[in-house]
Amino acid sequence: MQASQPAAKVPDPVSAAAALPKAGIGLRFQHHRAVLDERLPVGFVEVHSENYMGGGTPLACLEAARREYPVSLHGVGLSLGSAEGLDEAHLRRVADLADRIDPLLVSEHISWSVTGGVYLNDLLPLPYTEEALEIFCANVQRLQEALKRPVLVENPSTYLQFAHSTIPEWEFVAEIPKRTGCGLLLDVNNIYVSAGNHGFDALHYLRAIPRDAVREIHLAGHTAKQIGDRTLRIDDHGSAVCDEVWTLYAAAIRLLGPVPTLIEWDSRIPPLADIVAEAVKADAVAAANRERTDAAAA
Amino acid sequence: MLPLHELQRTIARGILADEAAALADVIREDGLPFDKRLQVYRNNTFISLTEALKATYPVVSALVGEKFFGAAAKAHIAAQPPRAPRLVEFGGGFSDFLGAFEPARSLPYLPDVARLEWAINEAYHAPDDSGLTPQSLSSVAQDQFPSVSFKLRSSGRLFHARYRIDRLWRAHQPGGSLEGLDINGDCHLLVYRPSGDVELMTLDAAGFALLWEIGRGATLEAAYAAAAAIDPAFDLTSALGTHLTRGVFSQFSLPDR
Repeated sequence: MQASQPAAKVPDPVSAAAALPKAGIGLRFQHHRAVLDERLPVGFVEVHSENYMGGGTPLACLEAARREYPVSLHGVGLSLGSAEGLDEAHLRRVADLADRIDPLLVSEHISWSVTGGVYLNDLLPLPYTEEALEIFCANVQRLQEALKRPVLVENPSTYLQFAHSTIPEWEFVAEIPKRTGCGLLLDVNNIYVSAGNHGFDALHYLRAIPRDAVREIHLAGHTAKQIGDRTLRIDDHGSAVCDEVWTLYAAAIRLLGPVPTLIEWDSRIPPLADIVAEAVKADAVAAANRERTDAAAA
Repeated sequence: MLPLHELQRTIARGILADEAAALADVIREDGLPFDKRLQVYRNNTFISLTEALKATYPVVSALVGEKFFGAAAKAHIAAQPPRAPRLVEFGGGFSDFLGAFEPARSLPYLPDVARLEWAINEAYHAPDDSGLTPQSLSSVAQDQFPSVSFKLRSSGRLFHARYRIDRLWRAHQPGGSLEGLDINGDCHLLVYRPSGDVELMTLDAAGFALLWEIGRGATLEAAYAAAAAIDPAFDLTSALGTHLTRGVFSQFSLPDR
């Protein structure tokens, strides 16, 4: 079909099928074997980097997966928002893994987990202040120096806001790639969760994000928890993506054009086929909305 | 306004030690008491770390039951939170913690079970290496053997307890049974990962002494002396044959001439 087109016609890179990357899935231990049994209709797989820093079966499985699919390394342990800076030994482990796997993407979170050397194993919220922004950006720059490549950072889901925050979250997020040259991993579910928890407009957030910085999108399920007379949305990655988040994803694709999209599922993990079905659905939603409309940005 | 490092320390205390009063003016309530908001993060931290401990200590968990394990895990997490960003490194102090945990007093073997499960966890995540085979030593002359020293595999962990923890552990594996289980007696083990799976090699006291000395860098002659001191009939040739066939060592060396 391409051959029959006049030579002078340059295909629109946005609408060309080749420019529409297939969605990926988060690969967890339960599915190490299943993911290698058959060729899945996914564009890439993503793993939590910290689970593959020893030897043995986990690393062997990741290397086997790498022979079949592009791999994205998604870190959960660097704590880029820590005021005390980064753990150099851990930075080296991340760099060593990236050297070994040659990943499609390397990403981390806009959050913190470490203070006084204690690791809290959660993605804790930052105050949105100039001080925190400077610390975060300095840590991103240190990470990019160590990896010798740009990384992506992911917008958080949060359950509280700090009284002394002076910058709206979307402006804080938008500022990081401007200062560091990094990319953004836009978690559409996280925008939806935080918008509900703090009463801001998710579409307004999306429009504030510099579109050229977005290199990956995350989608996942969450739960609504009743606490007193308030409902908090909890980002537990334990269910299918909800309709409202699919709608927001469609809006994101209309704004940003096609972006590699990943389905995360980390608790109450279902059979692999259910996660793959979500990735296939993401492809369909992206295909239906891929014409980037500047009207959406207006 | 709290500087970021101070804010982070205060939040960590609020999560781990329930000391949240200092955060009353720092967290916006917005219709929900600040401590209820912090509680979401407390839950995330304690639940995920308890899950991590349960994954590392499945037999301890089976022995004491879900509720007891949850309470022990919570106390341990608060007392010794992780100090490394890899969850597989979390929980090395759980055995000692259980040894001092009053409610666990009636299960005197419990800390040893935890110690074995930690050794298995370490072996599972140890860096990759490969094992020497009987052919690896073909260049070594007979008269050089006494001065050979070996390096245990990076996954190798020597384990000794005053109970038959190996039997207890095996009884909790798929196909195992608690029927007629007798845990009286000492247990000597080598825990290691020859390839994909971690294995438990049961040793006698002399065989354990041999590997213990080898692990400390002793020559074969010195290690054999330690084994023979326990069992004068100790069969070095047979033990060495087993260890080379089963890939217990990663390297050997001879003294410089």
